[in-house]
Amino acid sequence: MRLLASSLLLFVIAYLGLASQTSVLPEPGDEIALSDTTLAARIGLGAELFSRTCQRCHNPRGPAERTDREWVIIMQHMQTRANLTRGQARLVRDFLLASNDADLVPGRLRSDLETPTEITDDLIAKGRLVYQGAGTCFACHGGNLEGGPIAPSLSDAQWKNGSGDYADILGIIRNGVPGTAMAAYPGGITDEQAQQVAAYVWAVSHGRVDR
Amino acid sequence: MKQPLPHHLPFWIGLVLFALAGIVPASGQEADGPSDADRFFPRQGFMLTGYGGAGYNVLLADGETPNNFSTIFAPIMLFQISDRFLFEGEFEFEIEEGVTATDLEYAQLDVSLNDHFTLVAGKFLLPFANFSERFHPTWINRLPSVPAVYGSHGAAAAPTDPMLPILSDIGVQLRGAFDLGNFQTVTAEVFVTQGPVVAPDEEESAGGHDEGGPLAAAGKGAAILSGGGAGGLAFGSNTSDNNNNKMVGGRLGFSISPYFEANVSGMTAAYDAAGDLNFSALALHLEGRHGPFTLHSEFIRTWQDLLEEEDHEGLAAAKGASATGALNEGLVETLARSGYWVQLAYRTGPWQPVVRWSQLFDGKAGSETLTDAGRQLALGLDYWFEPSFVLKLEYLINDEEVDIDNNRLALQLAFGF
Repeated sequence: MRLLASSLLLFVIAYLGLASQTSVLPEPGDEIALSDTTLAARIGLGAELFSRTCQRCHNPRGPAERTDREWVIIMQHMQTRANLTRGQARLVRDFLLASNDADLVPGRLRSDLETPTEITDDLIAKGRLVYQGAGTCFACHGGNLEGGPIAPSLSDAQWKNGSGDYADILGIIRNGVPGTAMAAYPGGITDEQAQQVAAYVWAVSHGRVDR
Repeated sequence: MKQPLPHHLPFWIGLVLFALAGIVPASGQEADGPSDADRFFPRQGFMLTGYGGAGYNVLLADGETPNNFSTIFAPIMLFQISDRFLFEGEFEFEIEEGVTATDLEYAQLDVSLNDHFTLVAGKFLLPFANFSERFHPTWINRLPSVPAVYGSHGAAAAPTDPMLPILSDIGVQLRGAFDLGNFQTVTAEVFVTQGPVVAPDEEESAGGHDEGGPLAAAGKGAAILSGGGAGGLAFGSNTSDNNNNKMVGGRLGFSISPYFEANVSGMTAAYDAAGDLNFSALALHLEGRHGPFTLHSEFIRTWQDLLEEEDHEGLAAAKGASATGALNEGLVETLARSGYWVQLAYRTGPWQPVVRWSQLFDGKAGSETLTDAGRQLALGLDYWFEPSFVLKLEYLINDEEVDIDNNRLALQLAFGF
């Protein structure tokens, strides 16, 4: 009888494990565009999860209490402590990241943006390829970063947006410039490519390399 | 007396969960690499968080024990090694009634295997009921004291010997969470740890949180094994394992966030050097929310084998026999204890009145009563300055079989940072 009960229990647990693989929640990796309407739905679902799950143990903390990076670390801790699925933890995280910033852009780092400890020649070389290729940056900013009718020069010290330091350049590539043709992640580049092309633009504008 | 949990069952449950963790395919978001927010961040990070508090305790009508200030500081360090690995640890530094206690509450590595399973290794708070694992930090616990079934962490002036400490132990744990939709979740945990051992004598004690025996009455205690013999049981890292018998246990829960949560949990282990004397526990946790009302409750039952010595009246722990690893010629009886606590809180603006009732029943081994029953009523009023910063006032009324008046008035300022 004990063996039968044990076997039934194991079957139930195995069924739960195998049958629950299809998450009922949206997949965070599905969308790329930060302004996609699905993003708003994800943030809304994350907000609801936040309000429902946190209060099971403690008073919900305000999103503005923490920086983006701190919320990332905390939610990894809370995934274990609060028995959340990874998908649930990421939805709550994305809501918190969006909510501690004026613009509803998840992952915006503000002062957490870092200049790489070393902008290497390899990084710059890869960025040049992105600029001239997948990023399609040349189409508006010119093949020599000289600018054009709809986009400013990137080769001098004059900046319409930001201060021209690496963090601001990267932020523009990640977030775009509202009201202009500058889109976030132009050409659908990855964040790694965004960092590469930001390094290239920074290096050119600061005279570290030729175009 | 037959122990309630088949010892091998959690092993098989754990084996199946481990197998599932390996063969269950990762969901798309993991298999396809970083998600939207993941790509923004460096993969490594560190932050310091934690909680603390300062309090003042007045033992009413005692006349002997001075009123005391107390303080606790519990830093929590989180090391994000990658988006799959997190190392976290909590220290506790506490001064209460002139005793300074330091403890490593937990130090664990969390490995996110996939969307559902997390492997935890190191020292961790045991997934047994909910209070130990989630509710004991000062800024989360709505009262300065802990329920009377638990020793340590503010358990001064308990009506009788507590049943368990705030449980943490060293070992490995597999945690699973399954989202059923509509904010319904099934959770399951299994763990294997060092397990309890017979606590050292009081004079040898370092005053750690997890020790029992006479310390239990002073609020430092764990499960107590009374009846004339020495020693309670010690959980956690204060002692090394004394036998090859590891503690196995688990918890199975269901929740509809935030309205309802229920879980059942159990654990079992041999605690003597010979591996002949067993300790087991079962718990049922229920909680519910409706508007500003929050209800928590736990029902706990423990069984502890005792060895009768010929030169003691009644039943007692044969500490000498345990130390030598050999059963003497006495009888083995099982001390069965039961207890529960129920807490109701009501939030209105920054104020939150709280009422908690704790009851422990007579602990019996056969027909003989070894531990006394006790009841405790805690009346509290919280004022929340911030979501994690609170002033708590508590009036604790103890009703015990022995005619000792140890009612208490406590004030605590608690914070989470």
